[in-house]
Amino acid sequence: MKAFLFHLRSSGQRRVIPPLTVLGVAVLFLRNRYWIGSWPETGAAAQVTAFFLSAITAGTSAWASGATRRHKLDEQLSGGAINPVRAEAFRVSSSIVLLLSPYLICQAIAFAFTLPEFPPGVTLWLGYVVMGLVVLLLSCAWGWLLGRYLSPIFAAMCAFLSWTIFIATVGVNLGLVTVSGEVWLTPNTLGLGLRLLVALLLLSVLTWALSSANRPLSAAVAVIVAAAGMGLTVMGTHGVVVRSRPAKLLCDSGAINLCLWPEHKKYLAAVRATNERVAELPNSFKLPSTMYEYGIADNISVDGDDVVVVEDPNPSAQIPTFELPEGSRWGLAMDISRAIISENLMQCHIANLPENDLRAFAVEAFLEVTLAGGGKPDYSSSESEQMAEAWKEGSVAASNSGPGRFDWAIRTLAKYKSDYCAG
Amino acid sequence: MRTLTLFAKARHWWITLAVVIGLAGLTAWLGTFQATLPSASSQSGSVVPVWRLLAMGVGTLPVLSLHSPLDTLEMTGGERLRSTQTTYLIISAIASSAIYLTIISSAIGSSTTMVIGRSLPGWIGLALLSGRVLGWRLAWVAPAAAACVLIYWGGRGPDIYVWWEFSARPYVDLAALNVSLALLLVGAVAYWITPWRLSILPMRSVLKLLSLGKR
Repeated sequence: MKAFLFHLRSSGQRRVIPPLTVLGVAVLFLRNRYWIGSWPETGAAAQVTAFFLSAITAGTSAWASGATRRHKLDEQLSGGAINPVRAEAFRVSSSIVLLLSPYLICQAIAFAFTLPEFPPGVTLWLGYVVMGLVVLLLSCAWGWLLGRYLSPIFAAMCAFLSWTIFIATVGVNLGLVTVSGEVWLTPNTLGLGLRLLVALLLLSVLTWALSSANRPLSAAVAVIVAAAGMGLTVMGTHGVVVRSRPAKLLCDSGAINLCLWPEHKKYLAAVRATNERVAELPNSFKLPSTMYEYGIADNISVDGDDVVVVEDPNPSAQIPTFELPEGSRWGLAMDISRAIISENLMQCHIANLPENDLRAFAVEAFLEVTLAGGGKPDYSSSESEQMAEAWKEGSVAASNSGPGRFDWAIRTLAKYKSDYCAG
Repeated sequence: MRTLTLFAKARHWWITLAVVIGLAGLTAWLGTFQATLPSASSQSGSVVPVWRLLAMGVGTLPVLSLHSPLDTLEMTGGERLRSTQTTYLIISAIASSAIYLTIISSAIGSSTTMVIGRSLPGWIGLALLSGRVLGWRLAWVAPAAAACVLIYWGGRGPDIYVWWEFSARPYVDLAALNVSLALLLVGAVAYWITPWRLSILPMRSVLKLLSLGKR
């Protein structure tokens, strides 16, 4: 223990902790704050810091690993009385402890900010913590390996670049990291626990291999087998899985019965306000009876990093869904307006609706602006010029106030239905 | 010339050349691959082409290669060593950039090549700043930190970047060119401030201030 504490105190990597912590906190807070108050989003937001910290950790780890070669101490260490594996283990473990500290500090800060919502859903946060830990451990291992064999001048930069490219391309697709913590997804506890164990095993094998100078072939084989095991574990497990439907939904029983995930309790007031605007719509607009937040209806699955919607053989029985991207009222309004238009065009055959007639889309835009409470949307889209014009027409009509403000929308939709829909 | 040759040999210039060619090959092969990275402006992340990361590496290499096992001794070197070092740095930076841009131009297109060419002075400047403060071997630190900042906060949507995003804005953008050249200037100033200049400069300022109060 004394030797381990000595390594911690004397390691140059201590100086890295403050700037890495500042970077992590900046990544956490200098963005939208919608993660505060929702455990899965909190965990995922703090896990994002692991993405950037792991890249610099790989470089720092490579720099630390090459220290003995830099200072020409290989010969002294190999002739020393201490078991070389033990000496290497002290160096590796002290490096890991120091380089994990900024990430754990960021997670602790994120936890503190979401504490008022404790404990329901806190296991979702914990899963994302483990996800970030796995990434950091693997980056340490990669950097340590490169630092041992590459030139001390280029090793750190090569480790930083190679790790960043790996995690950004392969890592995201394999579910090693996630860029957002959707509420309908949950960290796969078993899979992440297994990944953590195998990552620790990989580090142990690497520590033994790098200090076994007289058994290079066995060491190389051991590292390759351990790395292959890690690869198979990552490919064979999912980082996140789809959550099962909660036993109790959080619903606002207004004009439409809008049901949310319980973890989105903080958005209930915004949902209620939108529902009150729905209630002000004239009776000529048919409303869906119920809408679920995306994911509640059990019709999605995860394949790698992609979320796949399972086709329902009976589409008319499907309950329409809505999303709340970062609590956006515009996202909610868009989905509700789309559901209202679908409900009103239920008798129409899709094949009879011409693509170049965008009147229904214009009415949908009218409803969206009305239900969002006016203003400018908080999203950007790359739609066609015709669609942009139709959207503008609907939004301008929605800006009218007074008793006849819905007349344009009612008239346009009724004419559209009479042109293309039977009955 | 002989001094320069010895200087370059001591720094294993061929390794730098090999790494530049390797990065150029990697850029030509994978450069246009789109990676999904976290972004402050979008919950679903932003799409970043891999060439943006690899260009940072090429800009850092000439400065990294300034390191030598006698770097502490070299800090006390005289004018001849300094001028040789500066000549080596300029030649290696220009040669690395030229070789890299030539190799990648046919693979990733001329407009992207020009964007990378515009960003290289900025990366070199950041590497010089980092190398002067932390040592030439750690010249990658400031470019790495800057890359994290640019990736996370530099984007505002698909192909929309803030004015200081010098590594991704269109090649005709003047603001990005100014930022890149400003970073090179900062790096050049940091390189110019040798340890003895650093110790003398504040003293001169203090002496000047003191002389104002003298009779």
